[in-house]
Amino acid sequence: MDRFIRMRRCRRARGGTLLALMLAATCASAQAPARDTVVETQLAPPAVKAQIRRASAAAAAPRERIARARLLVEASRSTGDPRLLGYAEALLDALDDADALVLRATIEQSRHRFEAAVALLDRVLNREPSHAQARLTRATIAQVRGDLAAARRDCAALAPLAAAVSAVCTAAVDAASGRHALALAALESVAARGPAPLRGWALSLAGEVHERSGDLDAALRAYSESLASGEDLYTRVALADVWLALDRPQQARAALTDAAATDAVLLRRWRIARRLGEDAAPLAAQLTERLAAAAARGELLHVREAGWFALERGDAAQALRHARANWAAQREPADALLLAAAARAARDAAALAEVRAWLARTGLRDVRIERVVAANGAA
Amino acid sequence: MRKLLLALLAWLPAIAAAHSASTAYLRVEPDERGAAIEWRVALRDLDVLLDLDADGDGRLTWGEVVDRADAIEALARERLALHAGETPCALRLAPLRYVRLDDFGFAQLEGRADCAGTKLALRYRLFEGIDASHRALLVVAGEAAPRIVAPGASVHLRGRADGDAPRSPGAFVSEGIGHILGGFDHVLFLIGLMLPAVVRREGGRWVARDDLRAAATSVVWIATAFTIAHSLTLAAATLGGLRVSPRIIEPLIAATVLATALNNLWPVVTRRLALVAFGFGLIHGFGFAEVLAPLELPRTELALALAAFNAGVEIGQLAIVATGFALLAALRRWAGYPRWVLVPGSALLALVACIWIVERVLDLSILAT
Repeated sequence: MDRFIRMRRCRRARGGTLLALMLAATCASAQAPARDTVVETQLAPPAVKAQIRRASAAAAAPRERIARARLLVEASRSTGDPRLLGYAEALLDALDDADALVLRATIEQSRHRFEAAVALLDRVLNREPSHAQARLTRATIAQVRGDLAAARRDCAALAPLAAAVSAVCTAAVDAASGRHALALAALESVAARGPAPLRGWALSLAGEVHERSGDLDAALRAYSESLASGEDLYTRVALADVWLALDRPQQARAALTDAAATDAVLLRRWRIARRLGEDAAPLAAQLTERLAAAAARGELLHVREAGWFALERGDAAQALRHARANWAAQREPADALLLAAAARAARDAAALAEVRAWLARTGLRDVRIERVVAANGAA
Repeated sequence: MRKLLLALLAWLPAIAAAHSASTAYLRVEPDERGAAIEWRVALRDLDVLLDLDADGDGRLTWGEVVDRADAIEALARERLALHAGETPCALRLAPLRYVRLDDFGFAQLEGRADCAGTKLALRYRLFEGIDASHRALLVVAGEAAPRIVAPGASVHLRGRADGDAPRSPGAFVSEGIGHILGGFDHVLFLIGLMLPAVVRREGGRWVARDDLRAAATSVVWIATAFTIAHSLTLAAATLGGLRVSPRIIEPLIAATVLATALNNLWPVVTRRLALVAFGFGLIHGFGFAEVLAPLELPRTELALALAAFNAGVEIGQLAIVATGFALLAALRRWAGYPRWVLVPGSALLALVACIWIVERVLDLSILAT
């Protein structure tokens, strides 16, 4: 009876609608396992747990809160766990120090809310033009969004504050403008003499330049050296991509051993399983569920992975939708590559022309993109 | 060196496509006595708040989780605050269960929030001040899309939020129609009353009534008496605040169906059926009131809503009575009517009514809804 509503049994949710996927997520059936069943292995490190409990126990001084937030943001970077960013954000709540604002901008940036991030950084730099971190973060965001001129300005403004950082920053812009030789010279110089964290960054960027030039062996070397100077998830994913491009899925798998299961990592594991002829269905199901959960939360930061996943599953139209949404938010070479590949698969001349115009405007050179664009042009 | 540490941070955007942020899943089905709830919280999140990993080995066993069941339930009571108006709901929880979603372990808390009030709201406070990116995906029964709830947010589950536009009288008319047509107990009660209207008792046997006019008159009287009675109690309940708990009224409504059906099988009351309809109508009116009460309307609006809702109930009722009577009138001369319609129909009614009584007294679900 209508007045005696009880929890209805979950019906099997079907179809690709958000609601159906949501229901599927909430309808998995619950059980009471045995006491010794291991139910979770992906726990926050004890240090992080202690941080959070201490942070929530009493409101600490701003300096202390900023220091803890910084540790959490760094931990999130190395583990790929976005929950740590949420903890950091809560610690920074209502703080107006320059460092707090920059950290908040970093968190916004990592959620791909670039405008909010830039607004925070503008505030800091208006107050304190010599804030190197704010300058560098703003340069990075400008580059991600494809505003290379703005990126170059901020990188140059860094020179008197931190010469080596400025050099790497400028080299990244040069690399995105097709000036590969210039970029590599600067990066190799920092890699040879710079301190460890910066060396890792320079080598990883050098690896990207080599990939764009089609020199995969050099890319392998650069990424491996980068990882030798410091653990980094992004570089590991890049390394796995090169192994896959060389058709060495076993090595790609080794590069991702024990890596946190981010969307990017899951996508690669799925590719590797398919390449090796293994059963890739569970990974595909997990990715689908993951992307649906992110979409249900209204998050956009998974579109690049969603685009490739759709494309490689043969849904060109869906891939192009994702690629376009992604392109509207960010314009790194990897985003141009996705747009080109999706446009080619969906036979969308307009999207392809957009990529060509982008290459012409920025001077970006990338053999992978050029191959896709040319193949389509011939078709 | 600070600047170099900072340079590390700047590198962040590239890895941004991270895996899932902290998400809990919450299903709520509000009803008159509160709500049924189902809450799924990631074990890794509970571990951050409650340090479930007792042996600190970085792995959680189910034993480690259930040993802290009290703390988890206390957290739910504190952070999942359902309340009706100003009154907090009492949370009754079933034993913890485990479910795996997206490769993460979740604790599932199921139970009931008891509070008989009208406006039902939720203040969601898990991770408030701790994880600014935590979200609950809230599915409320009957709503098309899930809601995304941030820590610290208040959510209306039932009853009118202050900002909502007042509903039109037309909406209450259709609510009334929908309620009588959708509420099987009212329909079956009316059918039970009408079944013997086209026949009469003669020497211990049912015979067809030749005078269709008299049969129609008797049905009209029955329906009118029922209407007047339930309108009276509906008005008394909504305007006068006269309330009887659904725990009493719901089984009583089922009992009226049973009594009517039994009276068709073994007639005790054969005259003045309209009086019986009046008495039983009083009971049904309290049932109707439970539909309007949760809307918690202001008084002026309430009178109008009440009139519109009642009009809707009458329209629905008229449709049932007219259709039913036309059918019965066509069947009344058929010799098999008492044997194949009246008796088995009433027996079926009696059986359904018995099941309802058991369901409603014991709060079980026997018949599928």
